[in-house]
Amino acid sequence: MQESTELQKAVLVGDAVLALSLAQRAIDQGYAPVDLINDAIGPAMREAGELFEAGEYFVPELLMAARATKGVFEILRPLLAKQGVEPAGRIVLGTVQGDLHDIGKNLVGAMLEGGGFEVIDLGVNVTPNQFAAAVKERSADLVGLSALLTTTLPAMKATIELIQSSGLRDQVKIMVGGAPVTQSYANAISADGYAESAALAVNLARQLVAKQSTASRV
Amino acid sequence: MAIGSVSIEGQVATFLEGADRIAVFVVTVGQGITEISRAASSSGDIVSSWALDALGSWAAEAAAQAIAMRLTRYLGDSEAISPRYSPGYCGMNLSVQQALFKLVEAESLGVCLLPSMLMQPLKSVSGLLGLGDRRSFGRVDAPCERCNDAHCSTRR
Repeated sequence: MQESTELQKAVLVGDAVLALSLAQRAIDQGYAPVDLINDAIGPAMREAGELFEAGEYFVPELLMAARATKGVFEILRPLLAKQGVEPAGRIVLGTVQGDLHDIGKNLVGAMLEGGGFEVIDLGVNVTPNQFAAAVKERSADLVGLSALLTTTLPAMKATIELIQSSGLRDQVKIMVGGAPVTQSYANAISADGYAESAALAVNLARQLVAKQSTASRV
Repeated sequence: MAIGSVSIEGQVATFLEGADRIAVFVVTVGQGITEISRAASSSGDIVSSWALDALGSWAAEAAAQAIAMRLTRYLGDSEAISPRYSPGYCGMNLSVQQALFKLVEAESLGVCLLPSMLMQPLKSVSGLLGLGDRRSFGRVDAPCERCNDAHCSTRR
């Protein structure tokens, strides 16, 4: 499929304008939206993540690839919804209470979107109550907590505890990340996973959703 | 280490022990660049958002460096200035922010300290420098040699 190969390339190099026009052309020619994600966008973002882990792509290249998918998803989303296609997973994402940093969180959100996830981004300085409410209202199966300050790490613990005490813990897998976060801290606060980079966060999200869901998702 | 009535704890006291005078500073780029960065992100332009955020950080660091250079005017003949030390780096606990904010009228710049020790506006830098005999502060890289954090983005 030439269109999907060209779209894959356009996303990988971050050409948002070309990606959008190729996606529109493919849709007009009858290409199924879900196949565009599986055949082109998903592989492109996976490759971008691999290039990042290999030290060949850096944060700007990842952001450019993710940005190229945003316009494409604007046209795909309503079509997917009409066809009743479920996202790869539904994640509530935010920077914890007391913390205002968002660039890392934004990159994770963009990478997850590019990987076919529905991302509910609550922004920064998000209270435990706000996380719990969003999990309930949006029927999320994942929560992503970001913190960049050592002083706001306790807010991660408090958020997980509130999700637990609200009776929502079994509904979601919780992943954590950010500069001061470590695997041992994630274990100590009973998070389900820790990702060191945005690219690894997407892999982790897929693993956690596979563990979480009993029904298959597209 | 005591600066007036304010006590500064931790390793930074050993880095500054040769100082005759301590300079305390707060600089800010202001809220504007963070607001423009957030607006870009909200509209889907995560590349510009990131670039603006990085630019804000660079500008704040440049302002802090400008303060350090300006302080060299106050040096005597045999004197030198120490490296800049900011809370959260070089073994200085983030909680030292509270002490620094007692010594500097940061509110006059519109900079405030959140309970998490984060400054608002986000693109602000606070810190200390020592002024004293050249033999105490001749070597700029000394604190990094004593630090185990190999991944620190500001390693000198």
